Amino acid sequence: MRPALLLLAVLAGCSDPPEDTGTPPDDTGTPPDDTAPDDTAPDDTAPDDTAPDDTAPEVSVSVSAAPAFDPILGGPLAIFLTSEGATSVEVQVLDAKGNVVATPTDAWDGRDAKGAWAPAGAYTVQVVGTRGKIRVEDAADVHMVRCGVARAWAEGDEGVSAESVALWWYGTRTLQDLAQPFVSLDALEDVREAATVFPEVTSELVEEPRHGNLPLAFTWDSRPILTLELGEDTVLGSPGLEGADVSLGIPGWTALAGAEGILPDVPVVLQADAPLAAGPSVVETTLEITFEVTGDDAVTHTIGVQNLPVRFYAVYDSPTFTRKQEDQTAWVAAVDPALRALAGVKPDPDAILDALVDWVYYDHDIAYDTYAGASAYTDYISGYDQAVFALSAYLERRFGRIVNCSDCASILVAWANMLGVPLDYTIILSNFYLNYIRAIGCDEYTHCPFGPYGCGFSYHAVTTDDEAATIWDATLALDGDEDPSNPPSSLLMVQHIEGDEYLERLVMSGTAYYEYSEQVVVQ
Amino acid sequence: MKPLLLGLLLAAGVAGAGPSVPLPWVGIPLARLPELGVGVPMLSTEISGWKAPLQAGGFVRVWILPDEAVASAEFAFQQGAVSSRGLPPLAGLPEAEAAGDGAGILLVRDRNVLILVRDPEDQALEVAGRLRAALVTSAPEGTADERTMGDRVWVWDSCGRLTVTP
Repeated sequence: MRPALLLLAVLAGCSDPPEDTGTPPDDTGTPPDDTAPDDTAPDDTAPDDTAPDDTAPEVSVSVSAAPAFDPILGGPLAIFLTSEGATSVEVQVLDAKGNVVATPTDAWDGRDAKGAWAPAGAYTVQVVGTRGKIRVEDAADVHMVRCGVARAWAEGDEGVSAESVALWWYGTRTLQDLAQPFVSLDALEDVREAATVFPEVTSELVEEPRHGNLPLAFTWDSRPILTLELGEDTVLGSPGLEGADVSLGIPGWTALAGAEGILPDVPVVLQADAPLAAGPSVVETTLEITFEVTGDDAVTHTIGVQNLPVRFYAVYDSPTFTRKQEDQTAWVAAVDPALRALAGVKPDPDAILDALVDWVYYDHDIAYDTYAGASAYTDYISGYDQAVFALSAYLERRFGRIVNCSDCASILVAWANMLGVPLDYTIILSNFYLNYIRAIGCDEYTHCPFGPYGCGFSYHAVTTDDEAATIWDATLALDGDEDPSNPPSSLLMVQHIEGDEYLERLVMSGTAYYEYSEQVVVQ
Repeated sequence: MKPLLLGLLLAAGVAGAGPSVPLPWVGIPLARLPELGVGVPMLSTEISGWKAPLQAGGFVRVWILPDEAVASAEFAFQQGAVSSRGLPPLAGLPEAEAAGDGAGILLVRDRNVLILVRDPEDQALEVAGRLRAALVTSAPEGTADERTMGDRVWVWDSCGRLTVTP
């Protein structure tokens, strides 16, 4: 704002500036006297302002305001005035036909004299200054608009710069429909005549809400593409508003289409300037959808801002399940906690699998079945080459917290492939005795996890991304020292250990070999 | 387990698997599971049957197979697969193949049906007996669930028996 500009509030209703009246300021502390003569009333004792006076100041007024405003989204239109030498200053808002709509003081709230909303359209803010018979005026053209985004879609471009992933809600058995907006508003204005705000992203992970703000999933290095559609109650581009070139932008996003001179029936497309994240993670932020207009003076004015909360699941890659079925994808209830746990892990498959092993082994609050070695959540169908993992039951721990190696392998395989890291389970056959291990959920190393007469496995399920050349295992930690068949033991988590070394450290005696390299079916 | 209780359980198993009952079993009516101490079953698109938590902890898995021969082969495989220890054979259950210790874990085949009980309360034999006694040869009216994904349709009858089309 120019320093000389003063808010109309300072000037409205004021008489001559003190230095012009010749009357010294009242510094007696006497309260204002309601019976005192109205300063604006004719005063015979006052100097005749109309008399020729070479020393009288010039009379001038000027008004400025943003060329467009939205009283609901951005609030009242601020009116800036300057006045010199005028004894009275009057502001009027006139419609296109010259009718007086309002006589605001320091700002116009978009309502007429009766308090009703004036229609969107072109208006003139006129200021008239008078000093005696001298009358000066100035005017500023403004457009009262209604604008706001009512629906938003997030899209990819098939991996060119952004790859989106449809999320699965296992509670409702629904696959996110990326052709539908992830958030929408019924109207831009609520019943209190205030701008409707976008809801927070749903905290529901199991059942897809019918309404609300849904999370989105993209590969971590994507620059997501947003398509924004204006609400039906947007008023822009209609007769009288042709000159209101409102633009839409989001800080950190670049407009691809429709963002300049926005129109109700033209979607605005923007793309993030930077990759979504530095690696697998959950990105929760608020996008500031900003409506702006630029005046003739090249000054840009903000009409209003809509805050759009978003949650992006930044996965490593698109889900890598080999079975093509709509539920073999990223489950909201699974990727949410996993990506929060993986925050800070670099976008590298080995690093992600290592982190998943740590997460499952330490944070899933499950323990090995040292009684029976039974799988609670994994079923093999007629052979070890077909495994079904009851993920939905596991997420709720419906069958308890006691698991076996098949379950731990299924957990790793399910989560890894949801996050876009290919991983298979492989079975170590068969009937071998164990070196010292520390099973998941157990505090101590032992070579007899089932007690004195239970010192071996009939089989053991682990995971691999290269047909058992490299092994990840969340079921147990190995003894990492030079003598894994005797105590003491040093912790060695099974994170990309060579397959041969894994067997050497795991097996005390007996024949052990890898068989199968398969994925689980998650249900 | 007390001998008397074991005798009663075995008798229940025999009663449910009597020789006059035609084959095969279609399973256990899911509506009866609460009274059998079994929680809400989970149905799989890959396995005919169901899995459910026991109300006192642990779980039950029921496979409904087309005939005894298929069930016998599946029993042999599952005896090694449901546990990474492997389940030792368990003798003594009439008209059934069994494996496990009968306390914490038991896998039993009753004709064309397999039942796995993992019971931390060590009552696996009792639970399996209850379930065997509830086996039926014709399913009550109605379906338990139906799902469609793509052009495939999965339908589970009232006993959790799965039909997939096409």
